[in-house]
Amino acid sequence: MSGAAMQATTAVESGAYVNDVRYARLLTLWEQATGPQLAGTVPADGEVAQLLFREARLLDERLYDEWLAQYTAQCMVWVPAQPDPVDPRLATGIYLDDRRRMGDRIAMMRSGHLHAQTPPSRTRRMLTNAEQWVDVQADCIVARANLVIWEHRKGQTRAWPGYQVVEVTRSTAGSMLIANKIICFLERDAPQGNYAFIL
Amino acid sequence: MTDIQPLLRRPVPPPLKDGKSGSFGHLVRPDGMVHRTVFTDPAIFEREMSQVFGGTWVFLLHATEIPHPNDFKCITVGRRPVIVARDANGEIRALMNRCTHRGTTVCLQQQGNAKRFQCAYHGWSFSNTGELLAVTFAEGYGPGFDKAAHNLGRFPRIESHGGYVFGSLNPDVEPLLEWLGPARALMDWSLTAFTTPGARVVRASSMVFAANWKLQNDNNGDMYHVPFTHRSIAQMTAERHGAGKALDHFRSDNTPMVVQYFGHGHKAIDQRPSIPSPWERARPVPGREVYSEALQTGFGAEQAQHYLNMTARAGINLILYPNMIISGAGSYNVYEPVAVDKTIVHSYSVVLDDAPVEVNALKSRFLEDFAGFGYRDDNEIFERIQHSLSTIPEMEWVDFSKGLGTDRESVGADGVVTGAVSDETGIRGAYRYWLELMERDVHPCVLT
Repeated sequence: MSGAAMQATTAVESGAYVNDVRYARLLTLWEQATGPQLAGTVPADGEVAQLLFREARLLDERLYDEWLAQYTAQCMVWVPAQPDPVDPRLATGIYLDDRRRMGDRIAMMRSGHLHAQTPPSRTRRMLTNAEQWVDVQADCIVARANLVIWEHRKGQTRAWPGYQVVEVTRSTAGSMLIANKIICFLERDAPQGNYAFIL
Repeated sequence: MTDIQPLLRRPVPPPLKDGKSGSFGHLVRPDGMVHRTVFTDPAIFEREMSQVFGGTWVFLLHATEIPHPNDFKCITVGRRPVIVARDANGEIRALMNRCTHRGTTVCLQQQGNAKRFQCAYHGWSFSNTGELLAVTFAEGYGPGFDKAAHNLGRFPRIESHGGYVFGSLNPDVEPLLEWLGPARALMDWSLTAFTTPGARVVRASSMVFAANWKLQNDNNGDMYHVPFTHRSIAQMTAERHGAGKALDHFRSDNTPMVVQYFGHGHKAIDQRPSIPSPWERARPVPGREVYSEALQTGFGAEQAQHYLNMTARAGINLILYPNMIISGAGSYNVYEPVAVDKTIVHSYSVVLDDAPVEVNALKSRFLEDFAGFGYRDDNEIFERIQHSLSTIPEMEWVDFSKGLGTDRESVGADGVVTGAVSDETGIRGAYRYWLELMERDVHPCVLT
């Protein structure tokens, strides 16, 4: 077993929070971030922008423990395959992870046997047009940003363009954490290339 | 059984001369060897588009994807753009998406509802039965112009079974049920996913990889690869979720599971003997705790267990040649060849409008599970194979001989060949059918 595999997560995260309310929230976030009612946005400020940039950097450097620490204990990440906002309960996407399945993904990366990441992809995430707003009803900050993931693997470089929507909450310790994240690739409803790195 | 000659002394096969019948027999050998050019030669790929995708039945769509009068969906059949349209009376036709005037694609929308399709180039319009309704500036056409000869090209044969709609460009193709043969029993089992009126098929996600379409078809009937290709999943699952989950039943070659070859290229892996409860075996998906509890509270233990087992996609791999795998009850994939080294796979799921939403939510998450974790490694392997086969002409053969010359293979009274689950029995059968199709000289055609 490789050294990386030895560090695999020992305690499995709880997934006992994914319910209708959380699914409805994901749908609302996607609609809100792309709909005509969105108003009062400002350029993402220092603290929110820093969270977005830090998350991107940790993924690019494949520092998965540190990456997972940017999320709340009851977080969700959704990468839909549908062109327009849809009830995630009725739609199979590219993936929709709770914290437990994020942990599964990390363990796969560290298993030493994920052939599609042998060798691993080198990635650089470009975040631009970052805006944020206060979701008064949900009492949180939401940010959206355009996103291009550049990926290099086995001599080929390609781009994964899209945008992301991130719901931010403040932990009791005072740091900003991601509660929900949606990544929409431009080609989400078209055939996807063989990404295997964590989006 | 044919002697297997030492690799280096095998004669080099003659190059494919004209891509006509009689040129393929040396590429598929009775000892389980298939020539690399079957996966890499563009001339062979062209012939497949004509003799395989144009010569036999091809899966088009499930009828619930176009449930209402005048619904349509655009698909691809052996690269040909096709509109599958239901007319006002409910009849389903497959129409070539090509204007009979100058060849423009007439419908760009992927899916929708329309009584007619108007060409964007010169405005000719066609009904959803394919009939040419109107020619613009018609006075420019003389008396010799035959309007009826300008209907959209129509597939000469459409037949369906349990809502699965198949089409063929070969007017002489055998009846669908005859072609399905003994594969029908497993297909009928998969129809248990459609037993309520609210069941409908929806597209999940699609993927594309840089390899020949047959590598996917082979792989779906190959359980030899599971513990190795999918080792990352097996290891992660064992570490995090304990033994007895997910792919654990493929760790040994000694199992009650079998591979079967049904004829006409159809093969299956029957995992059901090793999966008493798909739900118990499933890796935990998002919502597992909340939704299983809700189902138990709402419907009682027995009905809840029935619902939960419906959410986990495990049971069978039924591969209907050439372009479909039904994977358990309630989901299937369709292969779409794009080029000799490029393939698209579309995944579909059955949503149950009249089942509790918990069932659909768990099912949606379960379908993302193997698609996200497993397909990636499969695709990587396909691309590695394609790269080697295309770049090393000195190494000619691909070996599908596992199971041959052993006592693990038997032929039943119904002609079904049954083998040990990790043997390449089904794949060999599929290549025999491939050869049969490629050696024929079918002339695929359309009705106007």
